Amino acid sequence: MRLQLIIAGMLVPSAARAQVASVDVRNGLYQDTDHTTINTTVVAAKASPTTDLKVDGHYLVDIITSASVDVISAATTAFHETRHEAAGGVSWHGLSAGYVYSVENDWESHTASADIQQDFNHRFTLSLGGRYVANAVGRAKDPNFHRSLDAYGGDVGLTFVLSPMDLLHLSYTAAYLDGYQASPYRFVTFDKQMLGAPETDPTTRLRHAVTLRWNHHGEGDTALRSHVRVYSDDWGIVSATIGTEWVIGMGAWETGLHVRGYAQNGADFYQASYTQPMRYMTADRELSPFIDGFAGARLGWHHGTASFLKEFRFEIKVDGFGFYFFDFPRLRERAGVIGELALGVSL
Amino acid sequence: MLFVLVGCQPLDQPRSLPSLDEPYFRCRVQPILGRSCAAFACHGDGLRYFRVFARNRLRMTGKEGDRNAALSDAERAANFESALAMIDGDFLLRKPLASEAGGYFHRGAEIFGEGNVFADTNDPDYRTLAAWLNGAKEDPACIEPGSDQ
Repeated sequence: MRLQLIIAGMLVPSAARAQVASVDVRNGLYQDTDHTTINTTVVAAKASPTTDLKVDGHYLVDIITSASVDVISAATTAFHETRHEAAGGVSWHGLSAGYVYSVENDWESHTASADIQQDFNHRFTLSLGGRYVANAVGRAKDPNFHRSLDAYGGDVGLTFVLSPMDLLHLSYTAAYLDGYQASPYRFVTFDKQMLGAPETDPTTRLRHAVTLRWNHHGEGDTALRSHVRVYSDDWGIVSATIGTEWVIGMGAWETGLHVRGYAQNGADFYQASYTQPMRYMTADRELSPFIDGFAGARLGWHHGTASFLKEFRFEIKVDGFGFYFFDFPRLRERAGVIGELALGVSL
Repeated sequence: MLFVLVGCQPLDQPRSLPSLDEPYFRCRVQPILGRSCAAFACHGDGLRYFRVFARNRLRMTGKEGDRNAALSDAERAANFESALAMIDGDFLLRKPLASEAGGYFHRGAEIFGEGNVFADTNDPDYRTLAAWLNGAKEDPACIEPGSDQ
């Protein structure tokens, strides 16, 4: 996020950098071939009461309609649910703290985070962060199904100013999850005729990720933002993500073209269909081996004024994506589109 | 480095099913499942994860002429294993129990509007299921209701 802001700062006029408050509204629509539609609306605000103090917050609502293979059975046809999320944060010099509350019909979570970063001679920045997430897991329409899932995470990041045109960011993130990590809606199947069973995922999970980001300001008003991420966990999943975005500024207009690819193997205990009862069993396709790819474009515009409204802006973004699951017979492929429209003002 | 980061805890180990008494299931529990759960619109539907074979209900052969035959050994074994598989998460005992009595949501109770299978934990059939899960045993020579014995 910080690097995105830095690059954004290269591309916007100086009037925008002097802003003391901003409000943005973003609406996104997700549709995939697995019969899932998600409409997301976010209202976000930022303010800088003093030079060093910044506060921000957002409210988000997800309206989800799904008849995915994950939820379809003889007893269930489709579901509709709404997720609400409210968040607030404050930062002062190199210290920041945040809180997120999220609630839907079968899930409630509280996230607290704190970060610190220190700049050394404008050439090198060290950041440290920690977060705790407390989740209460339920089951739709079920007042008696209660599970908990706690997540503890931390990260350390190093940002290097390699040249006036290049930033390099290297980070390591670790997370430990403890609690219910299965789905109360999913059932595994067996090779033997006529037998299914609830998922039984391990109750702990240790996750690691190393991310390298390189932001290069090119000729003219252009930038190239690239990233590579390698991930592993003690469930046996190893994954790699690679992506890049080419950003072109043209006065008040900015356009970006981006592409991203992802590949992972399956969890040690994942089987498309089990031959015998196992200590751990899952029907989660996200724990099976798969690849995915995203590609899209965005177009933004901003207009500075001399009035108390210092800037108007909008952005439109479209992404297409595809997933291929190597060992999930019920859904080999999934494709879809995501469209977003954002409007904002700065005071 | 990735190899070091990946844990070495074995996660793909087989699990033995609980050693619950088969005769008690066959002679006492299975008749309850056949009577209360095996309707075609419920767990007598071959597409369900928890399926119950019963006379005049779902049959493994799929032949109409076998519909009213006594359960085969394969069907008895499938019913037994299906029930064992639903012990995880307490599903077998709490799904058919009314939520007011501590049960889980059961869509069958919602669809048909007649309440859940067991209104409370005093239901004799509920107590039979609970007894089996708590280790009750039956004479292996017991006569299975509807078995043509």
